[in-house]
Amino acid sequence: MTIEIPIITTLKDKGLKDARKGLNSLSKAAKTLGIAYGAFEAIKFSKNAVKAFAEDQKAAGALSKTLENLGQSYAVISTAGFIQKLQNTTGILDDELRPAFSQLVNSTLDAKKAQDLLTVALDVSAGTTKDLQTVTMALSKAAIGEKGAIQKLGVGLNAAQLKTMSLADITDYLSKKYDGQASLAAESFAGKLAILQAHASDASETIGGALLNALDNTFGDPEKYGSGIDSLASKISNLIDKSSKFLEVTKGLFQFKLKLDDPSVANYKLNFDKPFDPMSSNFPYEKLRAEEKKRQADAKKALAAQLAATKALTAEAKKQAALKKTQAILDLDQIQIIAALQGKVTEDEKLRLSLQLAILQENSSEAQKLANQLALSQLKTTDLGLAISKLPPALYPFKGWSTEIDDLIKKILEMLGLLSKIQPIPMTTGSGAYGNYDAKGRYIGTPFGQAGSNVSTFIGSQGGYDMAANYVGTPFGQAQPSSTTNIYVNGATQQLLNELRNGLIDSSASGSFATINSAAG
Amino acid sequence: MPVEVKGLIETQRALKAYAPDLLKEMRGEIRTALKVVVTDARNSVTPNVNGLYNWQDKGNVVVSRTKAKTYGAPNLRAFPKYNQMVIRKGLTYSVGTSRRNSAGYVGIYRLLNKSAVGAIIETAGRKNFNGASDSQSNNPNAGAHFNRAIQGTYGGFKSIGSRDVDKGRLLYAAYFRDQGKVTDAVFKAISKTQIKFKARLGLAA
Repeated sequence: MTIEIPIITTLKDKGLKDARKGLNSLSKAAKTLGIAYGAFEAIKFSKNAVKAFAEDQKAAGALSKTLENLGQSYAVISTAGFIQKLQNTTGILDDELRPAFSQLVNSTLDAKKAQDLLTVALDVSAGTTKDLQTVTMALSKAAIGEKGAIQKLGVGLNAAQLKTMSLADITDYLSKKYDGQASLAAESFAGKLAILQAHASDASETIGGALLNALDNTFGDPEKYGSGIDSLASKISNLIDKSSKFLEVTKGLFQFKLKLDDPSVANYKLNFDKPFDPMSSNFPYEKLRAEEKKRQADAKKALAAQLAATKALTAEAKKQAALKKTQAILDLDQIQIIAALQGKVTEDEKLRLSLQLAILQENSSEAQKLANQLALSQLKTTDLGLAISKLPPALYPFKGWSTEIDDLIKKILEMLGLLSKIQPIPMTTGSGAYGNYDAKGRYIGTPFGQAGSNVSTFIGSQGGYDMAANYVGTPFGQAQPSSTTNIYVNGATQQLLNELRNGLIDSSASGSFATINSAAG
Repeated sequence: MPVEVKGLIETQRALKAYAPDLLKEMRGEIRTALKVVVTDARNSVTPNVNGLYNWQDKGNVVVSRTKAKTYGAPNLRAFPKYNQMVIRKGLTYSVGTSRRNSAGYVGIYRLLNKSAVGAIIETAGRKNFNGASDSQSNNPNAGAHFNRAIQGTYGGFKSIGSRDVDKGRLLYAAYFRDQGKVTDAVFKAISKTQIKFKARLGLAA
């Protein structure tokens, strides 16, 4: 920082003069446009009034809801009156008082206590020149036991003192120390001015409410009248703008500074054919009409150009087709085919040539038709069709299997029937996982396998199953350790033998390996 | 206190265009007059301040203990050490036009105290000589101690106007001691040049 002592100074007022000049001209213009400006201001005021009313209503609603939520709904009306009274006596707007009260009631959970604290807060605020929000915040914190904020207010209480003080003590101390500060502040000129402003604000809100009601009754739709106000305001501002331009031009004319052939005059056209309508001054009819005409002409031009292009394209396609036709006449392949067709050819050859010609000419339907005809002709020529029609039906490899299987099953059943007629030799059997035990504790297989069913087994006179072997096989040979099973049957009937033989044959035929040694004596 | 002269800028402009030698002569005379005050102020600067031994500039680089609040920004400037030479060098004058103030005035001939440490000597304690009443400092009496030490060395403030800010210990004190001689000398130089200029143009004085 440089410290300077000017010995000689002078006023450099060039900029100031310019500014003053500008201000004078502006005030003149403002006077000229006083009426329009007044209307504009009226609209502006109306808008602000409606806005203020809406905000006030919203804030009041929020506070009522807070009280209701805290179970203090009985205090809604008294609180509204209290805040109104405070506003009128202190000049502090309800916009500030409501949040402050809301904060206090949230901390104390008691509307009456919050009212007392707000009164104290207003006094402290006036006495310490701290803003109401800060003081309210400090008091609401103190209500929940945080007293640090009170110390920061600079009210003369230190941490040690605050530690021993309750909220009631603090309130007592503050109300004694700052008693009457708010009313004293309200008595001052600034305070009276603030009260006046508060009343004006209230009036504005009231007017806003009335205006809103009136608009509501008239239009019924908030969006509609909102836009109506906006539109009116914009039209009036437009009128001011246009009028200032008009004045600028006419001023020049009267002072003979501008001539009628001056370009600035030429640019500004006054349309005397149409009566001057300030509300529609922002609609440049002539300009819009000219633009529309131009747009239509352009569209017409574009359409004509498009039509011309289509025509040219069609003509070109026709030309190409004619040329192709001419080329076809000169096509050597086609010439040869046509020549061949004119000569002595068989029907089949004629078809072939016609097909080739159709392919060359890219005539697909004709080519398809001819191809079919040619195929038929070829079949006829070679008698292939006849040969194919006489072919025997293909053999079905599994034909008759079903009957044979049925027969086999039938035979097995018969065999089982015969087996059941044979009286078995009683023996002790035990159930096991793989079959029955005989008297000697050996495994005995079942006629159908190893699962150890209780189906009766039979043993012949010579010891039945192989006595020397440890395992006795089954008729289907699943349990024996060796691959060969020898069965000796004495005294069996011829019928049984036949049946067994037939069964084994069938079994062998079905794929199971079996060797039969007939030892019938 | 400053004296308003109407049309001085225009006069200087005319002199520059038509009689540059006269402008040079006038400025030379004004410089001589201003130098008297500046020299007096410079002579009043002491080598040290009694009782503030640690404030003395011992040639070490001084680093601010206050960090920059924004990351990447340079740290704040350190509190300047007391250095007689720096103060003396900062005490000077100007014959150029200053920037216009909010009221539209410009200073044409000015006495200046440019250095930071010189400004401290000039103004320390001008607002709260005994320290701020709402001081949050851990050492609330430091300010009063500092002011008293400077006062002990340089003496009290000398006022050249009615406002609180029109007082100081170096330049203001020198101007106060000058008793308006510098203003007279400047006026004389301007009038003399004006007369000469008019005479040269053939106009009556």
